[in-house]
Amino acid sequence: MMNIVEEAIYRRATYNSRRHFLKQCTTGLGALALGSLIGCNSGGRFSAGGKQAGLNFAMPHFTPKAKSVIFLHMAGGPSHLELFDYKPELQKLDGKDTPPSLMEGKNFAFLKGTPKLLGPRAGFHQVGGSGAMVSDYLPHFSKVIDEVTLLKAMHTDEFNHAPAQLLMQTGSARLGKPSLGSWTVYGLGSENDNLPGFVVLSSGGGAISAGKSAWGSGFLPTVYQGVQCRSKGEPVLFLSNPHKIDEHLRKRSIDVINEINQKEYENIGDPEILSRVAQYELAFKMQATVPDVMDIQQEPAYIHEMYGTDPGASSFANNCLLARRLVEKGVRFIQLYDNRWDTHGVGEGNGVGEGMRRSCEAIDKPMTALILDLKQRGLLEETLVIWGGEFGRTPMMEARTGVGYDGRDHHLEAFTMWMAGAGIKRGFSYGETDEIGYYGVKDRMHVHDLHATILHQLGLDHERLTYEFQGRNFRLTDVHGNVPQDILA
Amino acid sequence: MLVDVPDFVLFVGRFHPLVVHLPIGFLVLAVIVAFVSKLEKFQKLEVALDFILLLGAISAILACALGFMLSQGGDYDPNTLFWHQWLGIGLAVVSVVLYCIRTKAPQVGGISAKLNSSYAFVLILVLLTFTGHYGGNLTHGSTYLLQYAPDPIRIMAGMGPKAVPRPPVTVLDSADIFLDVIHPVIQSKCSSCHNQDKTKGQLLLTTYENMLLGGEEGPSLVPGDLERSLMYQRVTLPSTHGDYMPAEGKTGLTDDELAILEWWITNDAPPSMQLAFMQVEIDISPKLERVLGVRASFDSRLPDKEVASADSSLIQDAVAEGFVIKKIVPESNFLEVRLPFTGQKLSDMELQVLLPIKDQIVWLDFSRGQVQNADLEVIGQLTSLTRLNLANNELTDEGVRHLLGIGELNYLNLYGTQVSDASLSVLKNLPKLRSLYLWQTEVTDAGVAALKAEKPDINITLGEEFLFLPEQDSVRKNGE
Repeated sequence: MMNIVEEAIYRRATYNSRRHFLKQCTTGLGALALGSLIGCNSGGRFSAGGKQAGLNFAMPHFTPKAKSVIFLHMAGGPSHLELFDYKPELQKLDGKDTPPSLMEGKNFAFLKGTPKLLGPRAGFHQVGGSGAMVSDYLPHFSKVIDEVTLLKAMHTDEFNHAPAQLLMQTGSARLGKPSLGSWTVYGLGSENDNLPGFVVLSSGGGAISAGKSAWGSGFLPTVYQGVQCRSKGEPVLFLSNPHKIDEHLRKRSIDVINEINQKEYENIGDPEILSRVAQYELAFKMQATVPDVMDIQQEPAYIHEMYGTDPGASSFANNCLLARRLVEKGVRFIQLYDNRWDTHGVGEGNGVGEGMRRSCEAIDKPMTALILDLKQRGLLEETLVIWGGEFGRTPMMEARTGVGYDGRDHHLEAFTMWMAGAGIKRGFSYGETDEIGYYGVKDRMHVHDLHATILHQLGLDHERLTYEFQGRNFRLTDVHGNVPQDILA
Repeated sequence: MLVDVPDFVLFVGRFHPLVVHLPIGFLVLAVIVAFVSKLEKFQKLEVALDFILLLGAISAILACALGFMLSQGGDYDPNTLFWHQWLGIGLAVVSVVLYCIRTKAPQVGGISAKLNSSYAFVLILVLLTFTGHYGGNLTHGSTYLLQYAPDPIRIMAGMGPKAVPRPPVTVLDSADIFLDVIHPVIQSKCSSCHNQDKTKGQLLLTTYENMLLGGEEGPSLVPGDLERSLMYQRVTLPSTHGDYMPAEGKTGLTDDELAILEWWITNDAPPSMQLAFMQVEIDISPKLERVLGVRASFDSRLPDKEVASADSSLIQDAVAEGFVIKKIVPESNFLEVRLPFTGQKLSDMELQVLLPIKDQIVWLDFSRGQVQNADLEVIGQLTSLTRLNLANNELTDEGVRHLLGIGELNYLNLYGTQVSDASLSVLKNLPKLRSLYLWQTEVTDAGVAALKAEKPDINITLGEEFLFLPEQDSVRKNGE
């Protein structure tokens, strides 16, 4: 006896019989068949010297400065106005109404009406030989300010987290494009056969808004996607042997599966099958190598002290230390996400005041230690470190419920990032914003420019690193991207 | 120059370069048909000849009319223009007359005009050639055609041999600010309109003197005075501005070129001066390097030389021994060598296999590789090395002295070894050494200070910077 819902589903299904399907799809099927005949899904060609499934021995376009990249992404969008972009003028305007000219024709996630301007909630001090103004929220980082180049007039196209994070990580606000790390490994290959070339580490709680697509491989073969590792519990999920299966049996099973896959590839020719074979092989090798490299307990006590780690937990400090260990093991691209920077001020301690100061405590010492530790090991010269969020925060206060808690809304016109190491100038500041930190007024740098610069330091020309997909060549930077020569040492 | 020419006339006139190719095509075809149709095989073409000639004549008249309109815009060399104009008109007249005779007056002097028009066709060809040549000179300049011709041809044409190009600049200091930097930029961006043949705005920008002289609106260059130097004012306008130069959508000066032009004029615009004798500010020199295409100072990451490709069998030998070997960039033959990440150590490998490819190996990473002092004897023979990483090995001053022969060495990482101050007095003799890493060694602060005083170019990292840690010294020294 069917109930009424089941009956409805059944009735509906009878309208779409196989005959209907075939009849309605005649032209579509033809096109699909033609597409596979002429090789639309052939997986594209390689422009860099990469090998399809093995990652070795791809070559850069010119002499690389960076061998590895560590990208510290502060998910949520930290306020530039409380960290690196000192605006005394904004302090004077604190509490005043925002002039309509700054609101008209602009898109904000939450701001509406006439918000009040919000002066910087952090104190600033001039630090380092370069004389940069840095927030009191970052007492440790202030001491290494002479190692970095501040990019103070970054701007983006998106004012919501997920699209802005996608733009920052894949060069496109829409889903489906390969991430920065995937492009890098595609262009340069991996140094270490036993570890993934692109590792992702998260902290700060919760998944980032853009989800796993932020480190996906898009239309590149899946062998280039990021592998998420955890600093708490098993480093990589589903990597260890199942209960009562020993290494020997595991190895034999994988061999058989790979053999079947190889035959399938010979039959069908889909390169994704080779990716699958490579991933099984890599996963097996990683069983031995990953637990070792991810075990930060091996580090001496003074290193733990330096980073402020918390072994066994999931923390930004642990991830910074892991990043350094991975660089030492030849991992090409290490992507960190720290998810705690969305300071809307929807409640007490959620704004750019005390709340943000506490967030800074979680990253200040670790990221400073990362720079110093890379430096003393001689690795900073060939490791590019990038820090920043997906956008900045407004100079206006957001008071969603009518009561303000020092919150700032998302802001795409201006924000600050920094880069260090691998041929980037030391103790330099690039770009300026207006007197309230709303617009970049000098040396603005778009996300595409950042991507072009990162690839450039890796020895890759962003205009030549292409992948043919669905009939045309794609680039990380699409049709954009300039490398600002002024920030290169 | 004629003023107040209606825009419409110029608009239509600018179709002249397009339309002008019609009579060229038709008349050349007519000449070919006229002669070829004398052959039996092509006799049938004869009937088409008058029609082709008619098309040629009509298009020639049209081209003349449009050409006259175009010439009203001025700015063309009057002498060349005179010849181009009258030869063109002559060509149109000859074509029309010939057509009329052939069709309307079949008998001239008792002989068939059709049979006897060969001379007229030859005349058409000659007129066509000269008209076309002068037209080309008007547009591209009189030197365009023979610019790349072999010297004997140039000399026959009275142009003299090709100018000897200035030797390519390899070092920034030896470049001349005007002859090597400013002049080539002006040549490529301005001279196509401001030359002897096409002197737009009565302005010549081919020599320094011409720049001082300027054009209709006054001097183009006033040394030391950006405000009055029109050449600077016009190129820095917004590109949408009517007075922006270069006009007509041609590629403008780059940011680098603008900055250099500004710097040159501000510094009294010397007509010739080596950069070595000028005060080149720190922000200008990278711009000069980019415009001149010279390598930014000197890329310390590779040796300043080229090498032949290493024999692939020799590379295979080294790979078989367990070394990981990669080419650094596709265009050069330099190699990078490191130990595999599988845990294989140098103690299990035969280091000698690297010696046959020592010219090519420039980057070497043997960190954590159980390298012994004795191995440094071999590594010291890899004299092309620019980057050498020996961190975390059991090495002492005894081994380090073998590195003295690596004259190209720029980066040396000895952290986590047992070297002491004694090594510093050896390493200071490496002429190109710039980065030296000595964390967790026996090297003392005093030793480093002494070396820094003697060799300020060397960046020494001692891992001294745990400023936020309580026990700085114990941290650094008791590393393990």
